[in-house]
Amino acid sequence: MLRKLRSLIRRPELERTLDAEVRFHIDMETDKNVRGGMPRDQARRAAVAAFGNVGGVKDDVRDTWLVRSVETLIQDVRYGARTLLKAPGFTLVVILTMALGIGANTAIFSVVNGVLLKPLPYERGDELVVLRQQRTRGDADDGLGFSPKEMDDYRSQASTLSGMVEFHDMWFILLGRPEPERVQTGVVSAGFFHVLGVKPLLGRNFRDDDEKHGAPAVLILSFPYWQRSFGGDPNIVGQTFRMNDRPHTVVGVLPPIPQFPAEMDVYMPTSACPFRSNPRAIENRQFRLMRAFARTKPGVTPEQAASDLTVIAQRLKTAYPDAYPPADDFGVAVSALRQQLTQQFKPTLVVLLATAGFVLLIVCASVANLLVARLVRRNRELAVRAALGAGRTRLLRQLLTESTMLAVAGGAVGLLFAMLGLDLLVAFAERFTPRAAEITIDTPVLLFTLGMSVLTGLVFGAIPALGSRQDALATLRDGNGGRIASGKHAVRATLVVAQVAVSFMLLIGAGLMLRSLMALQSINPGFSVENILTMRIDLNFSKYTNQASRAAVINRLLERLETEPGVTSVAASASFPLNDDGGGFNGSFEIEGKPVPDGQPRPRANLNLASPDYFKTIGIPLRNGRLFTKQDHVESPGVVIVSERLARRYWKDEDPIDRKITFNRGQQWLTIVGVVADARNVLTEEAGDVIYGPILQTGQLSTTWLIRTAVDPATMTQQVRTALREIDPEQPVDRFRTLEQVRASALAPSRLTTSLIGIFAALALTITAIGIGGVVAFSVSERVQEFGVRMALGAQRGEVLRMVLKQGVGMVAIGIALGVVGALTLTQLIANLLFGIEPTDIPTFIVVSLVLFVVALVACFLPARRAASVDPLVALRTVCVLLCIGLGGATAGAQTPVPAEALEGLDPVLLTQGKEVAGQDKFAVVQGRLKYFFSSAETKAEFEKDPVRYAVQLEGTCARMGPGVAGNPNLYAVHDGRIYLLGSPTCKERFEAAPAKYFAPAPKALEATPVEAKAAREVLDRAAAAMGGLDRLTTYEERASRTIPAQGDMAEREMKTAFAWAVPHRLRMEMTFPDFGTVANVITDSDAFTALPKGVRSLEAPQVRDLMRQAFLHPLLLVRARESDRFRAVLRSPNVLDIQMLDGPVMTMRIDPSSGRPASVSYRGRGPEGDFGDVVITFSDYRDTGGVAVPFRRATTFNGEAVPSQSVTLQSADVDKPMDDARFKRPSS
Amino acid sequence: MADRSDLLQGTLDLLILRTLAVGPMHGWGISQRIQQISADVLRVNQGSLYPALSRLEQQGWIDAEWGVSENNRQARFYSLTKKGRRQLQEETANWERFAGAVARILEQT
Repeated sequence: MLRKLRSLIRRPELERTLDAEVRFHIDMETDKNVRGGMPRDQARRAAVAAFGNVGGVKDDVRDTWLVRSVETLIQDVRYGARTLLKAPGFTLVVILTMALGIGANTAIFSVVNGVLLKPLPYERGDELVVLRQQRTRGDADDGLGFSPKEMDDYRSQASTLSGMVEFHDMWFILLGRPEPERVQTGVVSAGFFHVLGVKPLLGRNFRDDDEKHGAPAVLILSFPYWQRSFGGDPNIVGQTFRMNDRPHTVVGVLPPIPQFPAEMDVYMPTSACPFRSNPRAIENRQFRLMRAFARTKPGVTPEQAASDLTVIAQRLKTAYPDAYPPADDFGVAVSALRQQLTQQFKPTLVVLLATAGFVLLIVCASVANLLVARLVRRNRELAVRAALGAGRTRLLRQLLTESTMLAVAGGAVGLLFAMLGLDLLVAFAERFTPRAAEITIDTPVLLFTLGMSVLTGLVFGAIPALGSRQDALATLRDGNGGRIASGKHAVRATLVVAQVAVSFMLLIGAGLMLRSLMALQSINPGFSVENILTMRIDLNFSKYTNQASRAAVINRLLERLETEPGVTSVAASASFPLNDDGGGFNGSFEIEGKPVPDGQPRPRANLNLASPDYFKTIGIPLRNGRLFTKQDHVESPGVVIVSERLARRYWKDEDPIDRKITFNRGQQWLTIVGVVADARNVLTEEAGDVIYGPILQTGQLSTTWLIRTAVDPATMTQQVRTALREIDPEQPVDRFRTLEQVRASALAPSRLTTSLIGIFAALALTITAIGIGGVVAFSVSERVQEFGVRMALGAQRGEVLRMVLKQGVGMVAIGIALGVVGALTLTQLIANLLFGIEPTDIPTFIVVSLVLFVVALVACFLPARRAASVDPLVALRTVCVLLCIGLGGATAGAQTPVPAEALEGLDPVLLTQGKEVAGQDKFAVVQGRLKYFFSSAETKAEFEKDPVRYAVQLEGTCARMGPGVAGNPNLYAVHDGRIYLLGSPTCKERFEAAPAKYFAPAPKALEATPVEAKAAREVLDRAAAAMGGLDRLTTYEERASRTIPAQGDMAEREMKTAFAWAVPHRLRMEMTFPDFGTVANVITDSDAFTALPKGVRSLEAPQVRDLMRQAFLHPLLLVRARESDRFRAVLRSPNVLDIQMLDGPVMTMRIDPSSGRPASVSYRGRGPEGDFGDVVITFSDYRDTGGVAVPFRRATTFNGEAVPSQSVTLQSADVDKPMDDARFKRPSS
Repeated sequence: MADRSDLLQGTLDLLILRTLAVGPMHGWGISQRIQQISADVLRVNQGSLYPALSRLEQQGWIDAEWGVSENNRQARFYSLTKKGRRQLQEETANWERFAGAVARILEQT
């Protein structure tokens, strides 16, 4: 190890040693060879050969050095950073995309971690269980509490529990502070916190003494209450407060822990609650008010505890048959506290987690796609590195290093996003679980993020990298990324299809949630929510100790408020619809004359109490009989009002008025005086059966109030508070909310979940749109050659655009189809989050499909338009055509004669000096088909002095692909102080990388002395004779087919060509594309045009020249052309001639000595990639055609490699066949 | 027939250690010696010899030092360390066990 560390420092020395050692070895081997009799230099060569690849061996040795692996990593990282910084746009897009995906997952994972994964912040929280008594018969599964007697029985008999404690909530009124304050109080066993395993933050826990009858009242404050009401006062312990009629001493403060079942302000022992400590309550086995918590003994599962407790329940049922009517079939249920804390949130959380996971999938696919594209562009670079000796693993490692760097950077930014969104998520989670406060970005979350970043980096890095199995040499040889690209394209298209499918599912999820929310919002709850202020008044139970005093104070408060200005009507009730108490009580009753036999469930209804104006205030109409009045008071006979639904259920068409019901088995009968309309208690549920009692008759401690106002109810709060203080200054009033707010908060969980899923779906849609656009842009740049040819041949731009869009639309359509299948399965999972809508809701599916389709189309359209540099109007029209498939065909893109704005508006004169300065409209000059902008009058003048120097070179054709491809006016490169246009981004990139190889070698005029010329002429004359007397030829026509190699997503295709020559000067060159129709280029003495299925356009000079040069590669034409004054030839050897035609390159023609016919022509020309190299066309398979020898096979090679797209095999040829003149005439459009 | 010189890495290590057990030697000498003693059956590929030497050196089984060769050239001489000697014994034992097992199998078939 020490050695390794040393070698890390001694790198230069190691290198010297290695060099010397290798040199020594070769010297020794050389000596040995010399001794064996070889001459010295041969001996050395043999020694080197025997050693093998010196660089490779050295590298293998270096690999064993530790310094090497560290260096390699540093090198990879530095190289990676450099390449990434060189493409800032790409890097930024990838990092942001990753950040969105990882951010979303980090955020959701922090919630999952805080709520579901973290252990409960109680000691050994997994042992804590919640107990519940259940009546399982009928519809009465209402989760009863326990009575003190039952608590005692279970606690003393359970063998599986190590502790069992009780809880119930109460309110007290805290006095002695500026405002009387209602304090939410948890009344608990002395051992409550001990069993939970919670130690107070300050002070002490409850002791058994505290619970003794008559013990001084003590309090433990909850952490939030301590913070909120006492500002975290560290001296709070020991302070005394008057609550109701007794002093209470603070003995402790709880740490911040999730409180179940609800957040309390303070806790006190059972002895301090006047109701719980009432001897009658203690003796009453049916006073089932308390919730029970327990800790199981170590190793006991909740199920084992449940069976233990069930045995006890059986025993109790036998012992006290009165308290457990057989009809109710009592039992005990046990569930883990951890589960109770989170069960409400889990379904939503699972859906969110899945959603975020899908977003990450899309992100990975998208980034992998971007990387594949980049890799194809980097093919040459990688091939060069491979050729220089980088091993495949090294290259793979480099690629993975880069992708991991990207992912980790994305993860870091994503973490930032997650942190920004955390508060929002906590607020969201609070609506579902008490554990929300535990959501933080802590170590497990950070590890999760890091792990996810690295993993996604490796995954999306590996997809393109593993797909790149290819021969580096092949890449270098043909300099072509296109051949590999067709394989890559399949990968990319697959990724896009997957993205579309997943986005579709997410959008469906979001769409269904949205529709569901809309359904919820449009529910008519059966009452009006406008202009109503609600509030809570929990009466002071130690002051208002009986029915009469409670009814009296309620009446006084009502009367006081009614006189208040701005108040239209006032009502007091036990509860009101949509209130979060779930609609108050539920109770069973009996109807006079309809006795229920024992063992049968009795009718049940929700019970509410109402003051006379309750129905008027909330807007529930009276259907029958009368409402309550002030005459329904404590002394008057008992009356009730029932809801319409209840009336219909029990009396059908009969009149329920004056019928009687009882809640206490006939001890007191209540007369039905009215029937009111139904109202929903919970938005998502149908209205239930309701029985209303008169609150002024029954009295009530815990009351809710509704105030209908003439003004904005939210502004009335202070006024109401002041008015009530006149009646009882010690009576707190709180929970002021408008009924609108109550309704909104009932919708809030649904709305929040919908927005979260909606945000994720929007994210997915955006990323997918970018992905589709990227793939289309890429394939466009791949196919630019093809488009260039088509457009040069006159294809309408709209047509090209449509072809491009078709590709994108195809991917989207497949993606949507898969998405539909996926969505039909997956939406079942969110079925229980939906309201009033089926998971297979057809309108949602249709709208989502349309949205995705349109977005995808726009995403395709942008790169397509840019690549084809199409007039936006034409493009828009094309989009419309695609949208109204079936109506199409009517709109072909019109050719606009308006000159194109060139060079992105930059001043060309300054551009040639390397400065990018925007030009102005007022200094614009139109030259040819382009419009140039100048930044000043001076540069404009400079330009006009020498337009040839400053305008785009090569007549605006693509500097890489040659005259056959039009340059894009806004894709330019400056080389050697001149501006060149390029046809595509790929062309621009390739050209800028090595401009020199795209320039034709300067044409040297072929000089021939008369003697040489004569000799050449003789050879050519002989060739003409050998070919059957070419000079007699009047017409020639051939038909052939050639293979167009696969490009982009296009498979390999056949293209049919026809070549007609009316000797000497008229040419017609036809190409028939299988999916496009026939294009003919015609060149005559007086005209040059392209005829298309849809019209004609003129050929420009460079195109004509290019076509003519192509035509003269035909041996018949070439030999026949020897008489032309633009033809020069020199004989180099008996069978080799140099020929120059039309000032083109010098071609070398070889004559087959045996037949005397041309065997081949070679010259410096453009290869399929646009760069210059050695082109050789070999003529073979000469066949006698009407007396003329025609080569049926013309094969082309470029730098020794076959070029199938430029090789021809004739199908037939005709000579001296009369030709219709019309074939060379411009058709009248 | 597959390439004879394609030695298993472990075998090459063993051969190097075995060769150096006689005394210090330079890389070229090691390759000649292995070829010699194996009667040209094993031809050590330099492509694997030098990386192997470097690896063994990193492991501390052999040491390297500059010295003067038989024909007065500067050469790097490798020698066995104590640790290398132990390793050689262990590997030899392993090899013999392995070779013995192979021989037995061959005899039985």
